[in-house]
Amino acid sequence: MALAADRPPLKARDYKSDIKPVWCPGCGDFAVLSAITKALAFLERPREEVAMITGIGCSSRIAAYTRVYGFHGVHGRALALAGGLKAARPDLTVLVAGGDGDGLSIGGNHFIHACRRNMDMTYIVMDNEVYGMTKGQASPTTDADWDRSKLTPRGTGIRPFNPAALALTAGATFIARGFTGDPNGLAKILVSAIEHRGFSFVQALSPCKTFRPEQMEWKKHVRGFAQPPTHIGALAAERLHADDGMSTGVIYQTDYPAFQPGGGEPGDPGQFEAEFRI
Amino acid sequence: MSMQLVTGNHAAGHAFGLAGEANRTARGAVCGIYPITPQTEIVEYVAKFSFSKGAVVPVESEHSAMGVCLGAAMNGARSFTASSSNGLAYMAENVMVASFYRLPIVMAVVNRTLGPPWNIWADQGDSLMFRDFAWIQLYCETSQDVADTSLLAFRLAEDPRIMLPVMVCMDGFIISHTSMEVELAEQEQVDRFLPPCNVPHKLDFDQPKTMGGMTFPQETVAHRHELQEAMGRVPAVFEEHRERFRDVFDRDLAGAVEAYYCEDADTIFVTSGSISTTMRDVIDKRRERGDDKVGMVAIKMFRPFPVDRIRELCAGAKKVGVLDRNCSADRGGIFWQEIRAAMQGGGHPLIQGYLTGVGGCDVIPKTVHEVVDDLLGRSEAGEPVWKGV
Ligand SMILES: Cc1ncc(C[n+]2csc(CCOP(=O)(O)OP(=O)(O)O)c2C)c(N)n1
Ligand code: SF4
Repeated sequence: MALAADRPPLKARDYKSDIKPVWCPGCGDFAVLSAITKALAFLERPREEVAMITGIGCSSRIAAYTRVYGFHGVHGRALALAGGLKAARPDLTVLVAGGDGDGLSIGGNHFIHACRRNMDMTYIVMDNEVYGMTKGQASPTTDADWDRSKLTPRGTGIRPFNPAALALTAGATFIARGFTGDPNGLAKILVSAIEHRGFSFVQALSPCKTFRPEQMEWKKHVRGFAQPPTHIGALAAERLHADDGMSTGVIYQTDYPAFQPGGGEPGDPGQFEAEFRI
Repeated sequence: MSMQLVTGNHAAGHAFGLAGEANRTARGAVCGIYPITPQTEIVEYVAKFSFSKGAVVPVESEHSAMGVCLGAAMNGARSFTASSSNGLAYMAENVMVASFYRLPIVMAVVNRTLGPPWNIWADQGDSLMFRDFAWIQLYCETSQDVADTSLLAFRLAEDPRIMLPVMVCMDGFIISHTSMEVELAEQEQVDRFLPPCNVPHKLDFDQPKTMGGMTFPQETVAHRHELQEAMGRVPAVFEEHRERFRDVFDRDLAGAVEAYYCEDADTIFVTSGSISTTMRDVIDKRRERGDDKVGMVAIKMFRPFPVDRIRELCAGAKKVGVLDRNCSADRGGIFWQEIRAAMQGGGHPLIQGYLTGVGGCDVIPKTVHEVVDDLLGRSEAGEPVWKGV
């Protein structure tokens, strides 16, 4: 097998599999796929050194559409699984992706703990403010008064999460927001996220054409953050608080040692067993 | 009462809605909801109801959906939910709490293959993983059966002699999404059929108590013994409520075990769910055509397993074939295992297992004819026969 360095450089399309995505025409998730593959090509990551772990949902199908190690896991548990993989293979570039339902609803607990644990991986939430796969129910990022789901015909009546703010409070060391209407901008954000040493969180605003057609208007409202990234948590919090959720770019990045379990001197089982000798 | 063309999901949602409303004179109704294919329409249907007393609570996962039911049932509310497949797997911890707390929760299960690999078609492996959880399990054959059994489930669960949760199961898509003629109940009938829900150990200001504390083995074994005893009472209580159902609705509700041509049959097939309908059809053809003395035992009640009735029906048979839409790796079909255990003891017939419809494979008349031919031609039992592999 040729060493990675001897092989011709890969193009973005080389990171795509032959499987034709079953996403609806116009779904934002196509642009996330292209941004991820562009970022990997730019970083010249050999395919066998990248793993893509996903949960369940339309967005989570992305694992099958890439040509890297893929694992389409169970609903909401992608981050837990990715933690195990990273512990076993610290050399891999670990990408985790899924929907706002997968990551913030059923998997919300894993999200905050993954932020806190700060292992070196990149988590992309493809946020369409809806459960697309199960045909349009409200998610934790859906506005309280959205009343077009049959499960919540009078709206949820519950304030949505701000995923970036949640990541900040929980301890993520890189936080950004991108938009699928600007795949090149999203790819650039992903490059920085993958290069970041620690847990990087990217909220990708990714419209659901089918169940949230009004999101096709997002392109009129999305803009870049006025300020460059900060490493000061309080400042990032202030900016996120003042923002309407439509500003994109890297919001926060700080330098904090990434957690990698293991290391140190191996224990001596003989010594431990000695305590039980009779 | 009106005849309508509705799916199994619609039938379950309708029954749950009316049953919930019927408890307005007591402590109301609560339904914890979370979507999963192919069950979602049930909770969507229930969400249309605004109960005079109670609430439909959308939550972030199945674990919480059952959690909502637990909390509400402890307060004496009529509580229900629905799920499928991996949703049930994730809910599992609280599923057990429901029966161990003796809470009469009713859950519709739309049977779907467990993943990965991901597959949304019918397989009973999801509800059957709870066979040892002290839940009553009823497998329905048609949308009408779903409509009726869902109502009966509340009456059975809430009976003071029982106080156990009930799963009302149906094959994903084949029943959940196929429209059939159904006589749907009216609110007034359900009000008559279901007495107000009374959970004897519900929250009570005059008698504050804590549930689920730490127990020693002696207390725990007594608790398990009570569960076993309560399960033992179910078949008789089920029959009582079936009578009452007949009084109120003026029609029969499919029994815990339905016999078809068993009287003179020397070869009997044991089925459940939608496969029973196909088998009935195949038996008709065989009987019309010639002298195959074939019959069927269609099982609705899987927990408790109606051992006595099954033994009685199969007493004259030389051969019994069991069709399973599920597979316990190594032990084969779960109904097959149960039938073998039920039939043990002197002079039992040849018992052969068939794995039909595992992972959602279609079980069409041709599949069933092949099973019938196989058993008729057999002189000894062997390993379970896979269909579709
Ligand atoms: C344990 C479990 N519960 C429920 C489901 C059903 N389910 C599949 S995808 C999904 C929601 C997906 O929403 P989201 O993560 O926002 O992704 P999208 O489809 O919008 O991309 C649900 C509830 C499941 N697969 N597993
Ligand atoms: S339902 Fe929505 S999220 Fe799913 S593929 Fe279609 S557009 Fe995309």
